[in-house]
Amino acid sequence: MNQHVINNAGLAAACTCQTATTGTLNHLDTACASTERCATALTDTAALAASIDWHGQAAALMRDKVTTAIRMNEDVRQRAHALLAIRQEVA
Amino acid sequence: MSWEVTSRVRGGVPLSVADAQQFHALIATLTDTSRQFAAQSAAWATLSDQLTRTRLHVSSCPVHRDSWPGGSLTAAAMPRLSFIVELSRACEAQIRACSTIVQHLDALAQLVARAQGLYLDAETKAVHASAGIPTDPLSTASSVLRGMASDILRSIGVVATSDDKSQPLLDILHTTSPYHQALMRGFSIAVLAGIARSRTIRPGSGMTAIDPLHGMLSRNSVNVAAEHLASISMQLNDRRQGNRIELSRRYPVWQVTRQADGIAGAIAQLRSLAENQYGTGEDNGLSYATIAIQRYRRMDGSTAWLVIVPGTDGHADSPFGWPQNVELMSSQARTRMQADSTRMVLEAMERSGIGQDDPVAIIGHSQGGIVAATLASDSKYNIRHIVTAGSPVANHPISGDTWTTSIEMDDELVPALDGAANPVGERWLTIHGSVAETVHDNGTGPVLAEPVPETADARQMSHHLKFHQAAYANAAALGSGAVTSHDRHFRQVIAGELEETSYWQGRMMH
Repeated sequence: MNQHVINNAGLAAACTCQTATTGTLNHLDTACASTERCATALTDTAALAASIDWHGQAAALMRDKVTTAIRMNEDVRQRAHALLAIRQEVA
Repeated sequence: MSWEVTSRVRGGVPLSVADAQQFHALIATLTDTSRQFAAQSAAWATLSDQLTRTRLHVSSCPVHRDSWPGGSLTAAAMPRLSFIVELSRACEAQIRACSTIVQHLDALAQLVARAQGLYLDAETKAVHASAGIPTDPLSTASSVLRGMASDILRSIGVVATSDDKSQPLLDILHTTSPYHQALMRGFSIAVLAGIARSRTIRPGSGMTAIDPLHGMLSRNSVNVAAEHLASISMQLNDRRQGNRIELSRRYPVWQVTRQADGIAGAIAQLRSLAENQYGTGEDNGLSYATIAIQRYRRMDGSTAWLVIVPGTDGHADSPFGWPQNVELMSSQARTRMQADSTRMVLEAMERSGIGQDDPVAIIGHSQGGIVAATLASDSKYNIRHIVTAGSPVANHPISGDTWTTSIEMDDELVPALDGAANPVGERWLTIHGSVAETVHDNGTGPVLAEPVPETADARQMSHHLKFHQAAYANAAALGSGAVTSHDRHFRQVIAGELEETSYWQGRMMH
């Protein structure tokens, strides 16, 4: 709920940051949900890549790169979780 | 500066329906996951924008300042502001990570597609459509494009003879590479139209205008045009060079070629033999217009042969000069077989003792590859497998029993001189190589590229064999079943111990 103060002109002033902060938190929720969806998609991709009968340097490289992407996304997820934890305090 | 090659395979043993479905599914999944990461990156970017606005709002909020305007923030607003700062930093990291993952996944989707030969037609059409490239050969017969085609053709000669002038021309060749095939076909149509007109004017010449007109509409219009041109150029060249080939056996000081271990090994032997002849390698004691013939003893006691044929050297008395290319490109078997380079290789094969039924593999670079295609089309020999590197052989009527492995660089022009794409089939595999500056592994470069050895700071003519060598190495690394099966077949043809290598040099004499 917006707080109100009386400004120099004697008028009630609305809190401008609360609305903006709420909007920010909504965007944060959207981005974090996207992170989770991506993690699921990557896991499915890795499973499909592993199931295909394809050998050689390119196949090994592909599986390595997917694993690297999963690891990178794990960092993304951890940062998102940390932000969600702080979010609880701010909200 | 270093350069690298990435390859795509086209043709060869087709994937089973089930395998094709699996690879399509993998590409679709990689692409879809990439899109989801792009969306995630966009979500963090939107949050980042929102944070900028929120920061302004918090900093200027009348409620959270001690006095307004110009006061400092209240203690209550401080945690909110520090959260915003932390969130901003995190957003940047998230965007960077997501973008890198997008690049990885896109590169992997491309890797699967080029390894399995998927989507190449669609890719080509997309490139042509986006570049506004005229794929209709009749439209490329316009005068402007005709001029462009002749400029490009001229550039081959200039690039081969001049270092200081070659860079802009190499850049032109590179940027116009998607046009080359259509331009050459359009150019040949224009040539045929000119011939048809001249014959209409001179009806007493004994020929009709029908042949060139018919040729204009055919897939092999370049070869029909070459036949018409060869009928003139052969006589002129015979007057200049003579029409007698003096073939002599040569004995290099050291063994220039060794046992070929599969197609990669054969390319290495070809390069070892050819480089000195082009003036780009060490002196191997052999002069220009020299081919090598290797005799292999198979496990069952029978004999197999590998014929190694370098390309055009351009010397005045060489059977591998420039005019012979026109004859080899002719639509008529008789003209192709009369080309000096073909006759020289045939005579060397005969003098080496190759029997009509002995299995033979031929590897050739540029003109050497056209000779290989000619022998596989028109000779009586049992040519089981040919490997062509940078050769325009799409329209040669190669026997259905012969396996053909073609390696073509996107911007080398020469293999596009046939004005057509190579046929696609189990026994005809084409490896397309692209040269680019090496991108150090920051996630933005292609996945799995082959470094080109001994590259200079500036772009080089990719018709050089080291580029074909890198392209084949890259294709082999892709793990494509098509490449593996062609390599296996090539090995089977020459399976056995190398018994002898003979070197044969040809000179034109009057």
